Amino acid sequence: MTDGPRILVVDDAVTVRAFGRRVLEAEGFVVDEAVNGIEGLERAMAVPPDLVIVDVNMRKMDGYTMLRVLRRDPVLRDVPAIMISTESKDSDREQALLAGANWYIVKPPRPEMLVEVARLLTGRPLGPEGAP
Amino acid sequence: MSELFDQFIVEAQDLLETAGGALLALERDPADRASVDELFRAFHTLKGASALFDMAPFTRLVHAGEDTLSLLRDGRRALTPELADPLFRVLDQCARWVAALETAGALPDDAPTAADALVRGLAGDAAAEGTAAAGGEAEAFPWLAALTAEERAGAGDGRLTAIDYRPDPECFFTGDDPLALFRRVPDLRLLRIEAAEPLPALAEMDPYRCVLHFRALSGADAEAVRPAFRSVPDQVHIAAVTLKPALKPAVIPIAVAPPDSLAARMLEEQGRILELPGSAVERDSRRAAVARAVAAILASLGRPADRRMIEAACADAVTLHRFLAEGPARPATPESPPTAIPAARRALRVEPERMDALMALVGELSVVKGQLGPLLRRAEDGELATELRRDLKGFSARLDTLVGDLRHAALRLRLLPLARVFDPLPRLVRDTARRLDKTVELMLEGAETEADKDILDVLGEPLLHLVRNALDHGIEPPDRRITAGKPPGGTLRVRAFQDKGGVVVEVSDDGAGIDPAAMRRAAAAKGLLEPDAAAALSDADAVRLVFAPGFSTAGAVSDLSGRGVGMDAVRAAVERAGGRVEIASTPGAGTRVRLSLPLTLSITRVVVVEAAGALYGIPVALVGGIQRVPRAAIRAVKRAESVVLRDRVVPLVRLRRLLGQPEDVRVRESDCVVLAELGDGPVALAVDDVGERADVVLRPMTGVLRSLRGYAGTAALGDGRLILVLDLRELL
Amino acid sequence: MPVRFDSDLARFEAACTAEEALPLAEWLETAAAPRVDLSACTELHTALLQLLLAARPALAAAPEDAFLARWVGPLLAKAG
Repeated sequence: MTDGPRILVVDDAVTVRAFGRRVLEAEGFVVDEAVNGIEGLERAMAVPPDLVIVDVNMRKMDGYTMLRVLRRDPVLRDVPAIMISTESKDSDREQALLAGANWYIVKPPRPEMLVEVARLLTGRPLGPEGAP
Repeated sequence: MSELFDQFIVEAQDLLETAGGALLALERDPADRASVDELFRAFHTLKGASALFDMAPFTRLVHAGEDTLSLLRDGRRALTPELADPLFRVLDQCARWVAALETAGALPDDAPTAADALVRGLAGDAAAEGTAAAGGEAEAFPWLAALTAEERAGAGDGRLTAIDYRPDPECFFTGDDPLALFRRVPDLRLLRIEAAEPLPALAEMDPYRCVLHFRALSGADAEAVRPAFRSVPDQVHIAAVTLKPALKPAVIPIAVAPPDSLAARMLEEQGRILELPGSAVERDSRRAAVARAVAAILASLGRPADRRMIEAACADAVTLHRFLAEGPARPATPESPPTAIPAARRALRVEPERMDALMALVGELSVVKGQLGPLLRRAEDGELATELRRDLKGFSARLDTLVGDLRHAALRLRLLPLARVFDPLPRLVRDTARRLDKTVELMLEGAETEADKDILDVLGEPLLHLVRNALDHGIEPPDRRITAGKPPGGTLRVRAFQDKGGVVVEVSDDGAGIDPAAMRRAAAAKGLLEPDAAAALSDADAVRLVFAPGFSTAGAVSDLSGRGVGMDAVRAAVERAGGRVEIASTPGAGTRVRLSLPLTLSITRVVVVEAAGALYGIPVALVGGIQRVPRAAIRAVKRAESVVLRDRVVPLVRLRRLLGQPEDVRVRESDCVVLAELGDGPVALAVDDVGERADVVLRPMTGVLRSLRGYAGTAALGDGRLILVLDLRELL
Repeated sequence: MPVRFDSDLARFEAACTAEEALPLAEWLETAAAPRVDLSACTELHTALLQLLLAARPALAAAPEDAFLARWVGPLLAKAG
């Protein structure tokens, strides 16, 4: 279990982090957590993840800023990123992609969808149920 | 930067080639939607890629081309030869610029004026048709290119009025309310309100200083929009624009994932990310993230693709979609047509399978080498010579096989498809035929036939020559053809195929053919042959006269004979490479010229010998043995020497003497002799010393060296030293 | 008063002009969790709009005026 792809979940809500950890660890991912953008960047720089999942609204540093900084980092600039938010408007999605996200998920995510997205963005084979 | 630049050069070359092919196809069939799209995409991609660098004239030119093509795409214009001409000129100019960029790293100084002239050429044509494109105006509204799907849907396609309003920061003091002005804009389709500069923290913000920037689209005419901004004419830019229908890459099926699956949607999203606006740095890092995400998704789908290919495909959304649409990393299907093999220019592009084959052999080689150790130990242990010899023989045989295989595999790396030399032909035929007012259909066959890179280099020029001649002098003008009972359009067929040990290229036309009687008369008139001898020539031999040096150098003769100038040059080039030329012609029915060339430019195994301080190569195939011969064993009658070797009396020749070098004054007990087996008997060649055997690529003598007799060519040894390879038959 | 300021809620009513800019800026700076109600607003001066864009107060009620609802409401509702 410890050699799966590493996913960093950045969200100020402990529930969301716990949800991510439970769902993703069950699939063999290694899950790391951070509570805001600054801590997220610190974690990512310490141990480069294979994927980051970032919330939008966080204190100290929001998700947009974190992604912008991430994309400027010479080591982390190409790490795939998912932005996750309660907003479902196209303009919000646009903002996320502009900041550097590769994909946008509206909260709350369905566990199986989160797993599939994580598998796709880390290059792991899809489960037997495959793509819908 | 430089890696990106190199990538641009390669990409631009490919795109220009693609565009040229598509334009030719389109001219032939103006209803060919796929070619319109391909052409448009090529220009579009070029525009995007060139904009990354400091080459504004290039970008401006391809942008203008793109605008012209959008008229074609929207069905507002059809491709006529008059429209194709300036587009071809644009492609030619771009190709020259790319070449300049590759060598000099920058566009030539006259690029801006050249671009202006060509842009006028394109625009002039469009204006003549009364459909002036709003291309130039679109430049003023770069944000139009970066509309989101949502905004695009809201704005609709077609002719719109774009508004770009950057209010004076002090405008609040004069009573302006910029936002309110937009209430008066008829049919407002889009309103983007953005900070013109980063918004300061609230505490530092001057509430009376306007920091917003407004961009809008209206469905009304510019003249209907303008009154709303009458009070601020200096702060607003209003113009008609044509919003092209959105490139809808999503309609291209993504081959790697089921339609509308999560994976497909994510891949599509990656394409959209590439189109997002931003600084070069931002876009660059997004591109890196997109490339990694795409690589991961493809791997996840069980369709991993080469990372560098993916990175190249992530140049822009269109390229990425095409890459995904064509289904990357499909296991190589042999029946997939080998079209669009991008010609290797800077580097030899090697098919992975060939590289793998070579690597497998290298692996095998190390296994065989491993057997040498035990053999050595057995020899040291004093094992019986008979057994040891047997095993050594086996070892040697395995090694020979391997070396042969390795050489074969290495040669295969150098093989390239003839598409490389075929590529310029469609354009050449198109331009020449148009110039001559002839209709000619070009049929290319066997472009996938492979030959050594050097052979292709030899082939290129003669082939162009033959095709030009066939068009100039072979195929008749339409009226003449009709009179002769032929279809008005001629057919030119260029066919390549593999023959035993070589590659054959045939150029045949259904033109007037060559009149043997005219050839005989011309030969006599030029004094090449006595009238009697000329009259005695068979028809086939008379036709073959076109290859005679000095025969077909006069235009008058060529018109008479139906064959143009410089056919002797074609023959010479082909023969220098070890090939031959044949011609067959039927008066009234056409002519066929056949070039046969060896598959590779001879890789020759040579023995390196030394004479008077210089190194020479003697082809191993001619060497029957090498040995030291005591001086006493050499018999001399006057200056003619001979020696008994293997019970034969063999004439002995000293290489120094043959080459006109001074005699070796050193007193020696014995001479080093190479036994050369020539057609008319063996010869012993005395040399100063014998060195290694080496496989060399024999290069024909060029330039002034060509007139030297006795040399087969030059070759480079493994360490880079140059040797002359002797042609003993000629020398002796 | 076109804009009525409560401790945490500002109600925009009818045509709100540039004169409201300074009071709005001060209120936005001091309010702990500012929220704005634009439902009754019929005109929003650019000076006010850019303050709202900079401060991003929560949108308690979106504008009902057609122009504002279409072009300004989504801008202010954007999660920030």
